Amino acid sequence: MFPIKTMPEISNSEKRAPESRQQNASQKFISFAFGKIVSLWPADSRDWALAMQAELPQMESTQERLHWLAGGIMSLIKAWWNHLVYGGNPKEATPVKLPGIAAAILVLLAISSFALPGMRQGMVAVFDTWNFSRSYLNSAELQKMGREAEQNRDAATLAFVAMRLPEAAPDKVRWADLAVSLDPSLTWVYFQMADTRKNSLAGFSDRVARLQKWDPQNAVPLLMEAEQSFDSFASTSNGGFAVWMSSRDYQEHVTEISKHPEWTSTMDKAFGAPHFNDYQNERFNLNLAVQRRYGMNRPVDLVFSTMAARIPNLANVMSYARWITYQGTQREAAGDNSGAAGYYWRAAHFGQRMQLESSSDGIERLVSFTVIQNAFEKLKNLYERTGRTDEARYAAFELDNTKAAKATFRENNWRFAEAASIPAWSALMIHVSSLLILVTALLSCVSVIWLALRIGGVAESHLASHRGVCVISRVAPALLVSSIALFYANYFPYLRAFGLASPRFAQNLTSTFGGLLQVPFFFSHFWTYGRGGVYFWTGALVLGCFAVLILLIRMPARRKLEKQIA
Amino acid sequence: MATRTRASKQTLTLLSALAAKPSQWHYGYALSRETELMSGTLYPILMRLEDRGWLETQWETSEALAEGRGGRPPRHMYRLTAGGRAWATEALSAARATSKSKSARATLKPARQHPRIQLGEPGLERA
Repeated sequence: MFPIKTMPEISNSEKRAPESRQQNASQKFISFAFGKIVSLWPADSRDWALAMQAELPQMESTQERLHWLAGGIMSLIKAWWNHLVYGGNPKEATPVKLPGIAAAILVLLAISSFALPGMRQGMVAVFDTWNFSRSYLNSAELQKMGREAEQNRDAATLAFVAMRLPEAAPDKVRWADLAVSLDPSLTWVYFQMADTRKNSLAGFSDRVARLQKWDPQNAVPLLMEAEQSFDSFASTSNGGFAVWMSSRDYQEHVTEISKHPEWTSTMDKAFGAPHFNDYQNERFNLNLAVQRRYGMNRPVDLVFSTMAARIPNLANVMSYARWITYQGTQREAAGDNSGAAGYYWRAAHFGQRMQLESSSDGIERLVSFTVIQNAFEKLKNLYERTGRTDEARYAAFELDNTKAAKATFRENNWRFAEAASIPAWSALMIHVSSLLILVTALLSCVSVIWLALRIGGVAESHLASHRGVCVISRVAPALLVSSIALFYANYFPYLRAFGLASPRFAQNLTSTFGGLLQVPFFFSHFWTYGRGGVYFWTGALVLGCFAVLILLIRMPARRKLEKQIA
Repeated sequence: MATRTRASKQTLTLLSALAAKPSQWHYGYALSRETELMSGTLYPILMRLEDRGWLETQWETSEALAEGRGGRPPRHMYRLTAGGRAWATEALSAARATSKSKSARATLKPARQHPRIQLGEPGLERA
């Protein structure tokens, strides 16, 4: 019989009375966890789990048991790996399973999935969001397109390139002029190609004049002209606002604005123009047409271009709206009620045109609400004071209507922010599945190449590395196809949004792809975006406390051992 | 199958412990303490040695359990097979030869005796 008494730990354990040991909570937990490890262990080697479990009663301290438990978990993982690789057989007896026909079919399926235009579009869109610098056509690409378009006399591409090139690019204005001369319906490009705040485009005044001549009913070309003047007295050289703009005393504004009759005169014409078109739809259509013609299929580029579309300078609009409202109050004070109403109505009509005809759903609309609200507030008060009850009621109705529309607009924006968590989740799935596609495609390629190079080395088939590669080459293609399926299922709504892209759905496109852009933005701006830094330091603090706690727990065990040695 | 596999530092440490008393049965926990290998390292090595036929395993018999240690489950015991002893001798000799070079010296860390064993507790020498 086996001489058990000679084992040192048994000698020690004999000194202890097992029944006297109290089963404290940690022991119960460890016993329970080991029970789970045994039940999860592959059946063909479960004896080893039982062997580890049987050693637990020999341990004196909780710390030792916890270490043993951690080892049990690690051994469980290794046992499952061996089970998957060797199928429960002794390593040497297990034939090496090379990737078979199923793996080949899966790889072919994965490759053929890229024949789908939507799949290619999706991958390009994701890579665009991973690397913002490649998400927008760069200057060199644009210059190349411009040169080709110049040779081909392609007006749309010339306008597309001119709109996107930086102001310093020498060919920007020349190509815009050429595009307009080839196709005068593209004259609007003079507005969309100019920077809102700088207006430093070469020959700016001449181009504005051409635009005004081409679209005389539109307020926007007039606003563009006025903006140049406004920037000269309301902005500082570094792009900020002049001091008087932030003054609470409106008399300072009056004093400054009175010095610039050329601005008030142009703005007066703009506020009186019958239409308001900021050419965003034209810009969107041109972008889409040129992208499709060149087979670019790059939704993120289109979204960025839509988001970067120029809108009129809203500070300029607000300043003039306030100015004419002030003029109205001056007239009221002087007893000229009819003249005062004229000023108020001018502001109200402009705001209404801006609200109805602007294609922007953003701040432009909010500004139009403010202009209308201020104007009707003045009109209501004026009509009530002068006893014109019907007009006062109408002004009150318009005022309430505008307030309600403004509140709905704000609430919708808030609701969108709340609902954005849904596209954000789908965007996260798209990014995760893209990453999986890359990893599994790489593993499939590497493992197949590795096996192809060592196919003659059957003598090495017992090596774990060889068997591991065989498993990877069998599993990776299946994971690759699953990742592609996951990606495509999640990307489908985006694909549809891009397929339906039109000015009418431009906002949908921006909000849909905005979710896709959010994920890499969050990770690249972890420290500055949201509460990334707070989460990090909280996590670090918790881990630090945990480490200190472990040290404190270990100290008594060490002292005990030292005492024993002593 | 007598495949020539390079033994890791941990495997060599375990082999030196098992080969020190080759005919004696060893327990997992005792081996872990003696070799200072964590259970997550020790058991996969034991499993691998058994797979290759170099390790013999046995559960404690009911007679052994009946000798005054009731209330605990039977334990698993290990010792090298004849083939395992031959391979261990070969692997340890090769490792000792390699240990002459400075870089490999660390790989041949001798199995450290447990402090209680060093203290010479009565009865331990019988093992």
